[in-house]
Parts: sequence; C-alpha cells; structure tokens
Amino acid sequence: MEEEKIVILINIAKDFSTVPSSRYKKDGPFSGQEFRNKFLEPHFKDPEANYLIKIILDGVEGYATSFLEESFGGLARIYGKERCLERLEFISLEDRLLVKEIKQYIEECDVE
Amino acid sequence: MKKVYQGDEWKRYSQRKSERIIKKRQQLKAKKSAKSRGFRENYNKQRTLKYQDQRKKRKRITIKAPSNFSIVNNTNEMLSFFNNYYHYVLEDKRIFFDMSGVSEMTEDAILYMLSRFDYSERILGHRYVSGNVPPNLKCQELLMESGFYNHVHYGGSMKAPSGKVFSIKTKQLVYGETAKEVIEFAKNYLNTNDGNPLKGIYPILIECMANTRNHAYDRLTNPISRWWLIAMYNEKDISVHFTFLDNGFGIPRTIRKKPFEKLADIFKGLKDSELITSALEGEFRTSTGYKWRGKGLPKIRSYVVNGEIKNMKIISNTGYVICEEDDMKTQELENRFYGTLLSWDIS
Repeated sequence: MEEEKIVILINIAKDFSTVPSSRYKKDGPFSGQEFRNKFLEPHFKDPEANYLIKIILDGVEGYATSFLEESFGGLARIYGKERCLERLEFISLEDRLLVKEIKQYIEECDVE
Repeated sequence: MKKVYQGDEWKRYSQRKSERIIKKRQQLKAKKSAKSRGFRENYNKQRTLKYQDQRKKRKRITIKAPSNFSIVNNTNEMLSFFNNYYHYVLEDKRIFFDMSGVSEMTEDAILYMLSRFDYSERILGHRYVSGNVPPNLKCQELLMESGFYNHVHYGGSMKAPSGKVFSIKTKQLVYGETAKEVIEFAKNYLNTNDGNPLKGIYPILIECMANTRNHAYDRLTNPISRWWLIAMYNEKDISVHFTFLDNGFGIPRTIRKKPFEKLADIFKGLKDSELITSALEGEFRTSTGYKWRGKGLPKIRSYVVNGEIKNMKIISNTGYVICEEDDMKTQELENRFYGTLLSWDIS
C-alpha cells in the first residue's frame, strides 16, 4: 500500500507577500530567493520525506519571471527537477497559464 | 617695628614694576594684533581672488531647451540638448536651462532631466544648475503635477495636485509596493469590470526595476542604481500612460553579444536598436551567461503581442524601438541616450 503523503499548504499571498518582487534578496524585499529559502527549502532537505506541497498562487499583485524562476527553477537546480515536480502542486484559479509557466521553469532549470 | 611692605619705598617700587608689566603686555598685544590683522587681510585677499577665479571659471552658460521638450517625440534634438548640458557639466560650468521657448513637454523628458541632474550631482559633484519655467501653461502644469519640484530646489508656490498624475517615484531597489500603488492609481480611471486590463503592469514594472538592479549597472564603475517612474491619466483616450526610466549603461551595452557582433562592434557596424529587438525577441542575450536568465524583456514584449499594453517605446543608448503587436520599428539615434526608457499605454 502506498504511504500517505504529508500535505503542506503554502498560500503565497497570506504567508509570504501580496507583492512578490524580483530574483535575489539584494534586489529588494520579498524576492524569489527569500521565498525559496523560507518556505520551500525546509521541505526538501530530507530526501526520504513524503511531502506534497500545495502552493496557492492567487491573491497577489502579479509575478515577475525572475521571482518564479528563482523560486522554483532555483529549487530544481538545488534538489533536482524530479523531486520538485513530484513534491510540488500549484493552484491558480486567476491565471491558469501561470502553472504551466512555472513547470516550464522547473523543466528548463539546468539548461546551460 | 614698621613692616617693609607698608613703606613708601616699597610702594613706589611696586607701582613702577606693575606699570612696566602693563606696558609690556600692551606692547605684546599690539604686536600680536598687528600680526593677525595682516594675516587676516592677506587671507581675505587670497580668498577673494580664489572666488573671483572660481566665478570666472563657473561663468553661467545658458542653454536653450528645444521647443518640443519630449524625448519620445523629439529624440535627436533633445539628446543633443542634454549632451550639450553634459559637456558643460564636465567643464564644471554654472548652467542655466532656458525653458522660455518650450511649448510642448512630455513626462519622459522630465524623468530624463532628473536622471541627468542626479548623475551629475552624485557622480561628478556638479550642482550649479538653475532654470526658468516655460511660459506655456500646460507645460507649467505638467511640471507641477509630475512632482518635479519635489526633486529639485524650488522656492515657488505649489498647487494642489489634480490626482490625474501618479507623481514621480524614484528608488534604488525593487519595490513591489510602489508597483502596487501605481496600479491602484490606474484602477481609478480604467474599467476593470470586463477582466483586468492591469494584469501585465505589475510584472512589467518588477522586470524593469529588476533590470535596473541586475543589468543596467556595473557596481564598480557606477555604484548608483536608480529608477524613476511616473504614470498619467489621459482623458482623451481614457488610458493611462506609464513611463519608466533608469540611468544605467543601457540594454545594448549590458546584453551578451555574439562573437561576430563583438567584432562588428569594434568596427561600429552593430546597431543598438537591433540588439534591443533581439533581446525582446528572446534570443540568448543575458549577460550572466545562464540560459535560465534574461526572460524579462521577452516577457514584456509578450504583453504587447497579446494586446494587453499598447504604444510600447524603448530607448536605450542609440537604439529606439517601437513595439507593435505584430512588428517592431527601429531607429538609430544620432546622440546617445544614457540609460533605458520604457513607456507604454493601457486602456
């Protein structure tokens, strides 16, 4: 029998900010790097953990590509895209293309 | 027995002694005073000469502003005017902006003027600029409403703003809050019942601010990263016009050039407008060399292609690009624009 997954819910607008900004912490507040360090990486450190991280993307002013790429593409560069795609689930009712865009950033994270 | 110190002889001696001391002190004082007076006179003379020299050196130069004071509509003449200004800044001259002939003005010119003042003061330490107000009432109103006077020394009276202009904001970092504020401003004038026409504005502004931080500045040679933003409601078209400017090195100088382009650049064969269009089209142009970077400009272009924003104009170095839904018009400028300017409309 498959082991039940531990579900973790992250609402970006409520838990992080309604005004996510750019790529790096040095660029200004609420960067992709800050979001990744605070909210995503703690759930990826244990390779054996059976997490399902549901991320609610709605309720913010918008997302710059640099924020999304650094949060999720950056995560995939550290922990691998397979683990990211397996553990992350994105929810967006406001912009359905956003989920596709994020998955593309994860897929293309290591293209050099 | 009579005490020695009470005798007449002692009193006479003591008086003569004190008179001698007083005389000596007075002579010393007079000598010191004469010395200091001479020194002071000499010092004052030298200082006057120095200031006279400086004043001669900083003789006020009057430069006449073009009647169409607009970067997007009168690019070459305006850039020639600002190059002239920069030339006198480098010579450390006192400069007077004669705006008496200005009959048209756009907000992009105000931003560029502020960015050049900022650069001259912060990097070159030049602050001897003054000017007059254009006689045209519309231009006067634009200067007042834009918040220009909050960024320069101005002693005149201020009018209450009409609320139709989101006045100039300038910062160094990426601030989502400022982008949110300008969106709230635009929401007051645009119909948001049929979908959200402002959906693309937040990402565009963040991309622009981020480009200021990451691409537009080389922190070693130009440690000041700064951007300016203004938005204006246009009653005629029921649209909001956004203008964003940074005074960095510009897109063509900070994007990655292909080896043959580097060679062409040496022989002055490479056009800045073509480099900008190439970066907008999403060719691998990021200066970092990482494929996952450099997605900001193509994303901005995608909002034009999807029809979410209109009249997108980009000026950077000697490149001028007008983005349309299905085409990009390019122009090479005669003079260099210092930094990057983006302006667009939303209705």
